[in-house]
Amino acid sequence: MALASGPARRALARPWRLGLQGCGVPSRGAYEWGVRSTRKPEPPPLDRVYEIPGLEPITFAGKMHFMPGLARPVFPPWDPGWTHPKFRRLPPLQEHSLYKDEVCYVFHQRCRLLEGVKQALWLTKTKLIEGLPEKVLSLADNPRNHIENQDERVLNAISHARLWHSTEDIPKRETYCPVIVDSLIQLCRSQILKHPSLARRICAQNNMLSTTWKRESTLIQVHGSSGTQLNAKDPLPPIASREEVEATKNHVLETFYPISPTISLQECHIYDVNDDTGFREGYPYPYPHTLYLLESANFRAHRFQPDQLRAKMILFAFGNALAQARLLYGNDPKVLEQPVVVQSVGTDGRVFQFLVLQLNTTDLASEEGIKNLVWVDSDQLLYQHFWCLPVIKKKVVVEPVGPTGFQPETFRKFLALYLHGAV
Amino acid sequence: MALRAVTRALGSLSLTPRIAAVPCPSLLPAAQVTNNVLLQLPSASMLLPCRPVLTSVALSAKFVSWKSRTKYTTMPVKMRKSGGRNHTGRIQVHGIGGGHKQRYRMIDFLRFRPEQESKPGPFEEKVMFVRYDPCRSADIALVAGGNRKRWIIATENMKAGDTILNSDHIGRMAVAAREGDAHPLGALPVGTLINNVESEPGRGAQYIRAAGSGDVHSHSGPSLQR
Repeated sequence: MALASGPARRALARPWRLGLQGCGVPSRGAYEWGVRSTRKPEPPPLDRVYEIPGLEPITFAGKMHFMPGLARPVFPPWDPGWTHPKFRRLPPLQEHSLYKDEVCYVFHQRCRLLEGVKQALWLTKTKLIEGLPEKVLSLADNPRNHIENQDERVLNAISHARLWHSTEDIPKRETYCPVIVDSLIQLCRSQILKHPSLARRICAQNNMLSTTWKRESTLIQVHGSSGTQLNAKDPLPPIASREEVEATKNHVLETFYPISPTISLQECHIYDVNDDTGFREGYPYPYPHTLYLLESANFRAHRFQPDQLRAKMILFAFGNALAQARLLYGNDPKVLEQPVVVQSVGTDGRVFQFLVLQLNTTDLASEEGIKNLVWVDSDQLLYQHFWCLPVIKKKVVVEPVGPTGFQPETFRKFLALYLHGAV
Repeated sequence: MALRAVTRALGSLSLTPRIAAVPCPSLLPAAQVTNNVLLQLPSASMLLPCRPVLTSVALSAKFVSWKSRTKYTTMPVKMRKSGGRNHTGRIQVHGIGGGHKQRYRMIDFLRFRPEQESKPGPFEEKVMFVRYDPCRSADIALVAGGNRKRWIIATENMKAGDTILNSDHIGRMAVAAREGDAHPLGALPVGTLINNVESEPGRGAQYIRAAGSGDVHSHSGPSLQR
């Protein structure tokens, strides 16, 4: 005993710690969150009499007061017959009519995908191509498509949104972001006189999209409203040729072991599998054309990172395209003869992300086969900075009020995405 | 009635005697009479009889801990600083207090915590990024594995994109230990620098957690786990 050091002596003194039973079971578990005083107290244990089956315990219920020696009675919980609306509790989840045992991973407005665009590409079985397609870029560069005084009018729109339309000295992002997007769409709409087919479009807001698909034995759903949506009477023509579509068969999607592809998605047992485009049957503008996603939170921490915003754009555009394809061609998973094309623009008022998605196949359960295509143009600045108050140093105006670092290329791409399909 | 008792008690405690009390002697001059009156303390016979009334009460400490959250989350949680005060409200440890406001990030000290009970084996996780933690001297790293993310104490050379292994398996040969991995002490070769040590498997790391700390592993105690 004298030779044994501290832990060994303790181990010899407590022989059960050395033995096989209790091996691996710690005397105190890992830290559990929540202080005991803030946790709900456990109900007191029932008397031993209740553990004997078939025995009727004698309680002091009839005597109406405590009696030592008799068992404590167990009363059924009192049901007052009505509930105040303020204190109504939801019924347990299992009793909901849409409850299902299989878990569904839902992507909604506020989901920030951990792996960003890579994860969105895996979930939608898509191949990424950097840069917008040539068809759209040629529309952007063609001078016939430009508005007269285009740069001046865009600068006016920026100044209006960032400074003039509000009475505050420095308007907040929540105010100026939707205003600038609306002004730019209005500028694009002024081209109706040149291209009358632009009149066959309508802007809709606050429509709820819901689509579900199976991706390698996991059920994934896109659900939520995505800001302003441009719908058209005619569908967008496919961009990639059949050869390019066939070439995607050889493309292998990037996996990100050890992270699961459904990370950051909300796990849900209550969901509706039926698709919903957000519009009823017989709506005069059935084909989704462009989605405009805004990131207008005031604080940088509440806004999405550009990578997360692009992932959200991919998933919502894909959701719209899939719902439309299922409406046109049925629910069976198959390769589409006529691919469905949906565009998307995401912005935080200054930086724009452009996206064109072509849905080639609804067969998403298998890993191989034809993949969908997406063209992404990321981080296009419209202007570098906007001075709401002039910068004056030593009584000289160094920076005047207005935008600096204006890039007209970004608005040309915006206009091209708007005109695509109508020109 | 309670008010009457209180007023009687307060009246009986006053120093100036009332008209119904003992009459002051009128033989002495006026100035002296007033002095006498002031110096005269109320004796027991002058006090009006009344029930005892408590005029002071001990203040109870209304201390509720800020640690009320039961579910784990990676978002920072608001916390309240103690300032060295314990649950009674008095200073128990001097010299603590002040400093910048901090939000607490819930750190998972039990490294080997499989996501689901159905898959008990060793598993890997990927480090997303390493950041400063205001609540401790060490930096923390957000690691993601499977469907969950959690915060752990970051080792010295940990950076974004690393893959770390969490294992509870002790093989016959010692494991070639990489920085950031978690193994039982029995599986590590003698002489490895270790930190975040737990005294029993499943307890959670309690030792060697601060920045710059690290201990050389030597096989001494029974079945300790990292």
